[in-house]
Amino acid sequence: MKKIFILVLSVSLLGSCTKKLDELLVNPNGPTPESANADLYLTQLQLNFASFFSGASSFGMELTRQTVMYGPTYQAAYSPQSFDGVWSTAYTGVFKHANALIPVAEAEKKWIAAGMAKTMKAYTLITLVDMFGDIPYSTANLGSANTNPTIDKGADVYAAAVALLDAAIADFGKSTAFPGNQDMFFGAADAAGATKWKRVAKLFKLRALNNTRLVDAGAKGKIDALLADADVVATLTGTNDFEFKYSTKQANPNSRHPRYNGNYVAAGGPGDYMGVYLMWSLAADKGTFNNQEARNTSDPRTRYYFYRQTTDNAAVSSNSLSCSTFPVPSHYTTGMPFCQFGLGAQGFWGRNHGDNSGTPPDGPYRTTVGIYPFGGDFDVNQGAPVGLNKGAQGAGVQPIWQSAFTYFVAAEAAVALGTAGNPRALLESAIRASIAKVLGFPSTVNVAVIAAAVPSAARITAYVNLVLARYDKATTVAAKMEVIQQEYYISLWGNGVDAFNNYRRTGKPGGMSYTVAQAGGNMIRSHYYPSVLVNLNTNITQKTIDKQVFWDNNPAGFIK
Amino acid sequence: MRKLTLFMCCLLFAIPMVFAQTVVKGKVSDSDGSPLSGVSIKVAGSQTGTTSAADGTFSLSVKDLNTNLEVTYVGYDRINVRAGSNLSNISLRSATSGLQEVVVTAQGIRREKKALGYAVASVDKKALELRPDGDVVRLLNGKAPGVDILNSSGMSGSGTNIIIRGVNTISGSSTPLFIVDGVPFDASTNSQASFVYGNTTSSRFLDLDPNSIENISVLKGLSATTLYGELGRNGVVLVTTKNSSTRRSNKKNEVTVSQSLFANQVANLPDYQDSWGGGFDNGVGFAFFSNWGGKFKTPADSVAHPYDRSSSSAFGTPWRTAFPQFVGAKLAYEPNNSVRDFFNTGIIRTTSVGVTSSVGATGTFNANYSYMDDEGFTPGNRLIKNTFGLGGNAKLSNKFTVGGTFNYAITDFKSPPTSTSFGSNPSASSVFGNLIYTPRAVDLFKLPYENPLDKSSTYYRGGNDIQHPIWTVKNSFTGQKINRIFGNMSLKYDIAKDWNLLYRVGYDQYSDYNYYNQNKGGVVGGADFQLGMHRTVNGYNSIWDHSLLTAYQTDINKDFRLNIDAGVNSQERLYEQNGMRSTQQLVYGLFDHDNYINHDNFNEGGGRIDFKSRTLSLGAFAQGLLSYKEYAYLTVGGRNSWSSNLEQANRSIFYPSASLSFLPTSAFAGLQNSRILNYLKLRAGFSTSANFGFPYNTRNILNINTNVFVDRMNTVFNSNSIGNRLANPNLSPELQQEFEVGFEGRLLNNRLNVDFTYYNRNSKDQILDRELDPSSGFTVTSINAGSVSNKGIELQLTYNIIRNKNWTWDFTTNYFQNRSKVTLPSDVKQIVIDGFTNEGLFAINGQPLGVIQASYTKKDPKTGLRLTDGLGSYVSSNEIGIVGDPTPDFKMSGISTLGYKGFSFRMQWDYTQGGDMLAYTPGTVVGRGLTKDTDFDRFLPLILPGVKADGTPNDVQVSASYAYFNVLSGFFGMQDLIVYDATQIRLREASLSYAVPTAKLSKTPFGALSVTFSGQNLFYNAPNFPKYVNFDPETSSLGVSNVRGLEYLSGPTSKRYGVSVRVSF
Repeated sequence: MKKIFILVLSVSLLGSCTKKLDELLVNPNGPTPESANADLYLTQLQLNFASFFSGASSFGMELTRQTVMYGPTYQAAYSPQSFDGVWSTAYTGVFKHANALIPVAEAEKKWIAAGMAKTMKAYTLITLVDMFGDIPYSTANLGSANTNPTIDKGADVYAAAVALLDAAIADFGKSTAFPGNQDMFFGAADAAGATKWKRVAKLFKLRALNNTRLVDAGAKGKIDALLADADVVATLTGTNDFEFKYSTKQANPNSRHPRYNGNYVAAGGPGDYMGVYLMWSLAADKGTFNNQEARNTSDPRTRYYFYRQTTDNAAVSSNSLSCSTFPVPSHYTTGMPFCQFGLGAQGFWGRNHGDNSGTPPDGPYRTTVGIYPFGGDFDVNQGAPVGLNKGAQGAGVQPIWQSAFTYFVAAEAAVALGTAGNPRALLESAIRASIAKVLGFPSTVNVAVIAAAVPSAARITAYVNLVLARYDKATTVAAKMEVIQQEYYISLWGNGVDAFNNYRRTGKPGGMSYTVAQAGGNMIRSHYYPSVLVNLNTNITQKTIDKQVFWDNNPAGFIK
Repeated sequence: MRKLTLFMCCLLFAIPMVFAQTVVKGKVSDSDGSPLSGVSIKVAGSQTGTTSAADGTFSLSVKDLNTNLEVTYVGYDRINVRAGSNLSNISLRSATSGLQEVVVTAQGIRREKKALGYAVASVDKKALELRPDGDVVRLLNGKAPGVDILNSSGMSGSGTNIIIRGVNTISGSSTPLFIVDGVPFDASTNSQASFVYGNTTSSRFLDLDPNSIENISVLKGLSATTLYGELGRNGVVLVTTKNSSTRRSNKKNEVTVSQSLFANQVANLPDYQDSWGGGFDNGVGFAFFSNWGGKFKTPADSVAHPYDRSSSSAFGTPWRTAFPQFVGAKLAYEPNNSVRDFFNTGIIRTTSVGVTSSVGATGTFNANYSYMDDEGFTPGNRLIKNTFGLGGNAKLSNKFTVGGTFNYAITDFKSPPTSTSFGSNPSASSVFGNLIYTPRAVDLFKLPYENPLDKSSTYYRGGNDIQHPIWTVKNSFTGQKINRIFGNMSLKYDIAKDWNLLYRVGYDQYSDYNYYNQNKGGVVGGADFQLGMHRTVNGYNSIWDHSLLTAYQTDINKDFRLNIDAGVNSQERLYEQNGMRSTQQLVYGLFDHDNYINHDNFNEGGGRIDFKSRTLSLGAFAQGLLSYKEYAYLTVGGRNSWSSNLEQANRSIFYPSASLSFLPTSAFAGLQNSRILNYLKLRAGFSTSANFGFPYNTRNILNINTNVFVDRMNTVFNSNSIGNRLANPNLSPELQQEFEVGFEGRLLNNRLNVDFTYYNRNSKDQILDRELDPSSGFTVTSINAGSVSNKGIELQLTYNIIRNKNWTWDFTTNYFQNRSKVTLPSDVKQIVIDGFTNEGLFAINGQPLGVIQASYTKKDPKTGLRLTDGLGSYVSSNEIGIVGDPTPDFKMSGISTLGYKGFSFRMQWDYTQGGDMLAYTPGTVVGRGLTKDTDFDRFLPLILPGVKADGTPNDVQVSASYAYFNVLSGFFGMQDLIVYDATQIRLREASLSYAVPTAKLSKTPFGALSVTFSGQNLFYNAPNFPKYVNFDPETSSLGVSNVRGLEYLSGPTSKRYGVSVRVSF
């Protein structure tokens, strides 16, 4: 009797509740995946792509002395965990959303969007290979179907990426629906925008061919074919900068260049140290920087690249800049810049490669990033601390592929492979394109630079001639390459991805300052696998940092 | 028992005999003289009997006045009296002696303790009231073996971890179920952002008032908690408040008032050295973080005033304009006591009033009010609680009994933020982050904390990159304000004499207003913090609990008795919150969203503020107790649960339990009347439970992100994104199984009590949050895999050392050890439980749960010594490995209670053996050269002990600053150097109280009067930390978490002492 009673009660109670149990399975905090929209995916993809580039570039900038690598050894400079962010951004940010977007866009005949997704995916794949060597691709991004992807050979991934670029080039030809505002790079509202994307895809192919030229016997023919392609020719006579543009919006949401955010702060001083070698390359190598602009013979881009918080050396002491009292390390070769490299009097305040000593109270003195490409301040000897919203207010760019780079690649291929074109002329075009880009930049972000501080055409020509004179003196391929790569390196400020690739491929610039510790070791030839990959994926074991990526057949230890 | 019988016999001869009558009358009361109703009075060996009325009186016909009457009442010792004796004042003794003790088990079922086949720990009000802490759970520390309690910090009102019998889940919650007066009570800690941002959050059991608690029982094992279902799998804390008491006062009304006053002080600060000041490599450097600078001299060197700076602050004001008084000024380079003087002595005041009243013939009415004002030792930290409670109970004439309680709690908690710090500036505002390592020459009271012109923080560093701790206190505030109503109503109907039906509804509703307010002008944590922030979040929590219960008992025959309890239960829990975070304060000093420029609904860590979660859990359960001759008891029960957290196919699970209790001392005549072994009970139980995991893990959702980017044309971009959690529709409940055996015994003439338990619990098919390699496309998914086993021992020994007319001395020892082991499937390498992925607490196959992994120094495989590199430093592993296990070997406590007449002196010592901790405070204060540990001749170079790569001893000389700061501090990828063994001993509580004898009060209006002096955390020692750091490991930077063992400058602990007075009239 009692049991029946309880049973009846239970059944009636549970019966009425069954429906409620079902209802509560539905997560009230978000819509179902079926409600996805191609345009909204495209935004997510582009933001993730910019974020991936920004992360990948940071490592290269540090390794190539654009900014500081704390080191003190290459072995200790990065832990596997350092790469978790960039790895996650690539696979769960770029690939996942590209893979989700492409079928939706193709079904809706939004070909431009599909091509954009393929282009960004290809660039990301190539860059991952450049950083890590062999990476998961064919078994990656399958969700629950494979939670432990296996690695594919770097060369195979490159080939797949190039195939994606070819598919993208085909998509850009089928233009019917233009993304317009949704295209955060070109705002492709018509066929001209689609053409710009098509050129980017082709330039990425050119870049991939140049990256792999050491291991590709057919590189010369393929590069020549591309250099003859009308789209590439068009970029070599005009401009086709591919850059992600940030705005001045400080919050809600913060849409400024991430490196601006970290350096133009309200308190505590800039977060980054500039690399001594890059500052020396601009301010001291080919001329002398002088606060009186008229006497300035340094690189015309110097005041655009760096912003000095102090214009003299009054604040330098062993307590604020400990290296100022140290001798140049004995293992440095002659001419390798160290510490203030003789220009401390002008306030160039950086940090040596591999210096991991404690942070002294130097917040108001460190040199920081300038207006190009980070949207910082233009240096007219203000000598004032950084602050929020100074300069271009963060409206910087990620210089993923600037027109100048195409000239440099063509010049490099011409010297190394004998591809079409006069390398000397290409070098000059490259330098001029870079300088024009940098000098023209402030006006694109609504910053007026006082005319007296803008380098004159004569000074630019003097600079170009100085470089060409060096080129003319170079007799060997290696010496010519050194001149080309030095200039390429300078133009790559803000793009550590290509700077790191170029250094491993060519060993240039050859005079980059070593780590301050003699025991710093040899240059990283590929990074540790990220800890999320090694620790969470049962198919992966860690690798060493002297393992060379497939296109790097240079001898072990040839760069430091 | 025997004594009592003797006493009754004496009584018998002392009074004149009353001659033959067939009806005897009498009255039963408890030892306080309060009448007891419902007491069973039976003629021995027959079924003839009666029960006492509400006023305790009864009448009974007897054939012979020499017959014995058995007087029994649940919760009291059974006695026999001769029918012909004076029955006008039969006094029953409360069953504290154990044999007849009645405990409340799951779902309000009352059972004689001897019938239980599992362990239950009980903590009486005497161990909870008049204490200097308003957190009930902290007061339980060390008082019940198997219950492990850890404060998250020394802040008044900060969260508290409670874990019973080890953590049984890798990714789930391990907070026990709180049941207050029979119904569930939310005990969560609703943290608003990651522990990294240091928004101290109180745990919601803080809303209970320790002074109005009658008793707390802790049901530890699954045998005890199966009827509560999956929510009881982590143990159940059963709280009975005074409001729900059905005890009728011996007076018609009784009022008790108590007042306490305590001091709250910082318990531990490092012993700083006074020989060396700020700087590096022995150079005078006033503005350095580190204290490896010049030697102090007499007379002191003078240094330029740090506020005499040529630069202008980033907030726009030139330093020399803001502080003209310091232009050209000098400061003495001499030691100061900035850290010590920063802390206050907080005052804790508690007032509580309790009223208990008898209403009519059968009703009771209780009211309790309590006020607590707990001021922290840290400036800006304060907890104010008001708790109101009402309860009543009445037995109606029509077989109905109605009862209920109603509680209202208002809790207001505030503290400055305490974000994590790795010893070099905190992640965001933190009152402790920069304080503990203040260089010796810095006097933070002499350095103005704000720029008088723009109110921004100013401090000694040239780059102004440290936030002045006083600025933090004056400008940064976090807290919670809670309004909470909880209680229950019940209606019982007696269907028959031995059969009743009970419907009970429980409610627990609170609103939880959280805030993080910071004025503009800060210097840490990035622009959001620096420009001023105002985050307000309103949480709403609700639990509705409905139960229908029936209880039936019958005597099957002379030897067998059967009790059956069964019921159905529905519990719906809702948590919902929304709010806003505004940044960029316009006008300094006003915390109002209107006064901020930007508004969004993401917290400091980027997490969404708005979310809701609703779960429904249904259960049907039954339990039978078969008793045989008062010495063998078999309990069999089971529950079927249905949960809304899993898909239909997997949402139902049945889990049974069985336990056995056997009393050899009652069963075997040969064991009776022994002076050595007075009582022995053996028990064993096997039980199961389940876990349904967290809601919403079975279906993917699309993330909608609005306003994610604004481009140069002011186009606002929105996006769709696919979340990083991979849904698993096949998720099924995890099954837990536990086996426990134990015994309870009383020996040596009842002087020694022993209670021993061994348990072995295995939680299979864990619902794991498995982290995924992002190349799978996702970063986390929930899977059923792996298991966690916990084996442990709980032992309680109580020895009654002295008992005579004036003196009593009892000593209790609690011992607890737990060993856990994780088993993971082969395709899961490890799971991060808490902390960071490169420095955190992990579940690793074959290891105890929650081992610490971090990067470590590499060792030479031959010698086992640390490897050194060409710089004379150790070689970092560059990858993580196990560097410690935070699980202690065992925990013990010793509680001594010494009584002399009205005086009582009580001490509780706690001891923890082992358990590792990765602690940045010792690493920082030693690594930065602050404590006496580093007061040596720093001009001499050091050679770190170790071997070079070629196996020869390290011979590279390094400076003292380099050795300590760059290597031994643990700042640079060698965290094993700052992992310490956290063995500790502590005087947790001491108290001296005096109760005025009742005889002396008879002519006063007072019924009772007592005075108590008490203190908490009066002494501790953790010998394996650097000597002069005085580090107290009883803290966890992770806040409330399943695991512990990480410390990121979370601040000192608290020491409290004071006096309480209590009167009743």
